[in-house]
Amino acid sequence: MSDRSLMQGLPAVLDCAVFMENEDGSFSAADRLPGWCQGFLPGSSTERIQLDQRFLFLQTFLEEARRFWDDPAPGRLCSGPWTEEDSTGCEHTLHASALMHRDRRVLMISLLGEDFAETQRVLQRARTLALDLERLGRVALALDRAAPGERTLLEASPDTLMLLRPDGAYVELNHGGESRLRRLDELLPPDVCDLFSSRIRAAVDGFTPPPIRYELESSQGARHYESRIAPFDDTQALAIVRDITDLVRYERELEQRLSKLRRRQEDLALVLDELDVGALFIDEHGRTTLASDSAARLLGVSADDLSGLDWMDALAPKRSDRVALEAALAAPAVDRPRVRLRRDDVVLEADLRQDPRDAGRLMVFLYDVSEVETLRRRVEEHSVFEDMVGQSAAMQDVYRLIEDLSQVDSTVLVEGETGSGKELVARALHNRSRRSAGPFIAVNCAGLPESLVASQLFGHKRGAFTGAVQDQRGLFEAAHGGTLFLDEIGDVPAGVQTSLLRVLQDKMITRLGETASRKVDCRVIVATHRDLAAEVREGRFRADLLYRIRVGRIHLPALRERREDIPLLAKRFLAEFRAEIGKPVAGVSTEAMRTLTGYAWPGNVRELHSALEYAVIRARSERIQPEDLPPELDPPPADQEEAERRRYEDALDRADGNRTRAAELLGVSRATFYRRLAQLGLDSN
Amino acid sequence: MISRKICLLGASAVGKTSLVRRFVHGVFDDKYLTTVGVKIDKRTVESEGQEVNLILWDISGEDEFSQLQMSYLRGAAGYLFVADGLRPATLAKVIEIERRAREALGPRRFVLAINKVDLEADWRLDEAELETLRKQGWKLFRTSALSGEGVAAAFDELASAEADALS
Repeated sequence: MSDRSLMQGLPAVLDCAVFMENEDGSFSAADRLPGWCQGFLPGSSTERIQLDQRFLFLQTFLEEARRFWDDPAPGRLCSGPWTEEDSTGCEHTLHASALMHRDRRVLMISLLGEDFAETQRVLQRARTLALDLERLGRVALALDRAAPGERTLLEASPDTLMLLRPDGAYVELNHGGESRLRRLDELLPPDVCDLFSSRIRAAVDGFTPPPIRYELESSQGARHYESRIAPFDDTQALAIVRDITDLVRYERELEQRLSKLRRRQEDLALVLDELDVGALFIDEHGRTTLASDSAARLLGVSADDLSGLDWMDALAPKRSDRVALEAALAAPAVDRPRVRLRRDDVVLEADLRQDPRDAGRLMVFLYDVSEVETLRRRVEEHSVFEDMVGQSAAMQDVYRLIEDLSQVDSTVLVEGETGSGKELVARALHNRSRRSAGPFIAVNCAGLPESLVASQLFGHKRGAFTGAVQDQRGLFEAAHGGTLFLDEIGDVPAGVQTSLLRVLQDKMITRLGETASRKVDCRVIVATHRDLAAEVREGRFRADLLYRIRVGRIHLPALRERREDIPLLAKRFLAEFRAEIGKPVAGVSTEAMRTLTGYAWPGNVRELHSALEYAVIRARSERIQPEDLPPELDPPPADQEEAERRRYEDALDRADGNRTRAAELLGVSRATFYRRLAQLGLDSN
Repeated sequence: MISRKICLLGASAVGKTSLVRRFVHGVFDDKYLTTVGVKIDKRTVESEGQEVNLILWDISGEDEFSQLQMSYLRGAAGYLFVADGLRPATLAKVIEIERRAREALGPRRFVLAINKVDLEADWRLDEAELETLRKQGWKLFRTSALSGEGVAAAFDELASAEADALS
């Protein structure tokens, strides 16, 4: 066999590149080069190749090879495996051998294939395992070498620390455990071993699995353990094994106590049922843990359906009620209002209380207030009369008088301070009278110049005076078939008073500039803030006119005389402003209401209306606060107390010293009345 | 441009391959893949006004499964020894390899990279031992293939020594 024929056979068998060294140190390929070699020798000739410039590794290996070729020993010189990138950036793991063949210097370069890859995988596994063991040993050693204090602490721990591998091998790290590997199946029954295996795998994958509880027999009897397994690294998990025998015993005792407690809760719920109070017990997650039967009945579901429900879902409030519930829950516990829940057939009141044993828990008491609500509605119906608002006794008297006087056609004198609503009374009289289909004409006599009053009221003939360019009927005629309301009658000039008297007596008017009288058919209602009797005494008002106009008399109380109506009025006005201004102001805070009810209101309801409009515009929250109110409502404290003292003294005077009656007049309970009397220093009288 | 062979030496899994990947390619991969034989890479750096082509021989770490092949060290201008700060045994291995290499091939320039400085809080090396090495003339670098800290400095030290020697 020739050299050439031998070389031609080798590459085919070994998938390697075979080169022979030339005299000049270059190499020539013995045969066609394998494909992988093209990356190192792109486009090169197969002759006279400078291999040490093509393979970085060969730069040093060829020096060694030449020494070998110069003084050849039996066999061949092997390079050992090396990995190198070719000119395309592709990595190859290669092996070189230098050998002599019939005095020819031969270099063989082989591509290491699957056999080498398998060798590498085995070595990888072996080294990984060695690293695991080294880590285990390191942890154990570290614990052994821990500072005495740390070590003592660790040993004092009731927990056993273990490093575990998914194959069940483990090392105990404390309690005198040996740092050598042991196996879980030597320690645990198969079913517990299986549990450990799955959790160790989860921990090695980076998850924190749930703890395992198990029971083992020992010389001291059955012991209970809990093992928490946590990720340690990508090959091991850390287990914390705790003897929970005592804990299990405590848990059982606790269960018994809880059972007793549940019975007590059920007893409590039974009592609440008997009292017709619904009760929901809510845990710190907002879930209903217990619902009394009465709660279920009031909510129209079964108690079982309520269990576990979110408390808001359990109450199933309407949208507006839900907002109120959320607001109540957000309010401080001491200032938490009850919330009305309007359902189809029942009105409930929800009282949200903190569980006194645990501030994170809630108790919801439900009261059926349907009957109360009905009564309240009835009261409200009586608290609004036409456009007047008030449920005070004084206003109830006003309403009754209006009812009575609306049935007759008599002249009515409405007396009351500015802003107390005299025109509203007149309108109510008109609206409820047989004249309601006719016109209602209101005129403020104080606003008319004296020269025009007669013309305005009675009309005039064309040419009656300068500027009377055409016939003009007066307000009496305009109110024909209806009602003429003359406000501030006390301000009518003396001359006009006479004409008025004639109209009221004869039902006849004479237009200015005419001689013939005309019949008029209108009801006259007059009003004044003045004391007309005093005006008569002073000679400013005709006595006969006074007697004529006060056939019917209605005295409108000042707002300070019916302070109990202020919340109702405020509610009404707020509703009005919400619609007008578009701000969601739902109510008045307790403090602000105290200011409102303590103020004297010289401008009466009109002033209250303006003050609340001012407050709504300023309000920054859903409830009007004291600082939202106009500054004049906030007198210095001393003045406030003095004002209250005067109110109490006034009430006592009006009640002839009867304290119960005085309390009623002030709209406060007897207990409050007596307490305030003492605070104001009035109790000794 | 001068070319110089630099061998990375140390125990297995100390991070030699990771240091080379950080230095040459600027990347880090925390997956451990053992090196078999030697893996050759190169990077040209400029030092002392000279371009130095560093041929980096990342040699399989020595452990109970694999012995260092001294033939890989032939022709090397310097060594970059690598120890793992978490494993004191790897520093002992470096000291042993340095001695063997010196006995077999004569003295070479070298530096020692104590790797995994990103985990320095957990290092278990004896500072007194390191101080002793410093006194013996060892140049120590705290390196992290993860963060790159100290890596370039260690290689640059070897490159500049070569450039110095040439000038």
